[in-house]
Amino acid sequence: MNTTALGAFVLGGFGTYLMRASFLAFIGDGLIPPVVGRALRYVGPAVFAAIFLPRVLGESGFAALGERPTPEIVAAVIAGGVGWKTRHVPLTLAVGMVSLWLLQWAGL
Amino acid sequence: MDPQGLRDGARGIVPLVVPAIPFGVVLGVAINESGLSRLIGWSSSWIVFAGSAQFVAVELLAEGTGVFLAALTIWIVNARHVMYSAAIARRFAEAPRWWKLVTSYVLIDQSFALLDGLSDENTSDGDASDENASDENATGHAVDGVGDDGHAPDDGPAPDDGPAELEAGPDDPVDVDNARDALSYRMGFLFGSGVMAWVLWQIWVLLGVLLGDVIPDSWSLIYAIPILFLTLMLLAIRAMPGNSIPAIAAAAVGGAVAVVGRDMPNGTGLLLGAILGIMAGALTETVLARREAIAAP
Repeated sequence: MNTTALGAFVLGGFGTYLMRASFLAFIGDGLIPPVVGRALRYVGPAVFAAIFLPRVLGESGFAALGERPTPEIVAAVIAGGVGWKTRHVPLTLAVGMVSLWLLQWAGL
Repeated sequence: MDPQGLRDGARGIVPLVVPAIPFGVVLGVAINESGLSRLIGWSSSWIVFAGSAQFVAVELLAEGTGVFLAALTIWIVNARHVMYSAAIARRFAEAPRWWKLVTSYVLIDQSFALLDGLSDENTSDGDASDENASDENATGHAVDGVGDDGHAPDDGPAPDDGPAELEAGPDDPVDVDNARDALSYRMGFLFGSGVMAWVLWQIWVLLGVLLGDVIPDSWSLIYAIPILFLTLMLLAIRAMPGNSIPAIAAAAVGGAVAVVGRDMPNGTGLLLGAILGIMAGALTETVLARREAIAAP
């Protein structure tokens, strides 16, 4: 597993380097083709959502929404509201974690 | 590279990487719990040097994903760097090649954002008139307020600094020096901010790797990861210039597909969610733009 991981990091890191260097070091002053630019703009929202949503909902996926909400879901909703309002990353993180602990502690 | 630029960049990036402390530490904890050797897990920090991609890769690898799929996921998560690279390339067109090759390695979201806020009005392609240059000298301190000591890269060259033996007109050496100074400052700035962020990032992640043994599981610290990505998603949506509907569509599709595909082998659910989400965003943008074009007279 460690050899696989190292291989993935080296390969993934090399590709990342090439992307960072793409225009700065190789292509120089140039324009991203509009189609590519349009796609790149949405990498952030799509990737971040794909990472967080399955983790918040848990094992049962969307079925979790039909049941009593778990502490994780409630904490995410609270943190999401704070994050949207304040755009403050550490504060949002703190609110999310404290909510989770309180909800778990209260046994809700 | 201008040493003042190096200092200003290194100092300027610190507040921007403070939010990365919990991220780095939690990533370290995730590495600790992944079953990977700690050194190998930590090596992702200096090889890939991109938190989101490292996190996803560590998790996929812990589940037994192969080299290629894990690397492909890293590439897709990191694809946004092409945007940054293209956005700054023009401002460094005249920089030496070695600098471009080295600095590319430390180009991250935060250093891009910091540079983006740095004025470069005096970097015009040599057509800055003398009038412009003196105007810059007068306002440089205010315009360039990154370093707290108010250093401006362009307040050095007075007209008599120009090499007298140059045969060019009296104005030209000033402009050339000015532009060179500004470039040197910017080079130092981007490089300094990137290196500082790099060093701090290695420390945060290592801290998490080591703390992972000490922090009790009952703290559910690993749950900070989804909260963090939720916040990043909200920031990414809110940072969109103009209409945010396409970004919301990208997030909705990306998240929903990843949930439905959560049990797909080798983390391909995440990959598929990312790809379909990106497509949904781009498609929505196209549709909205077309509709607007039709609505407009």
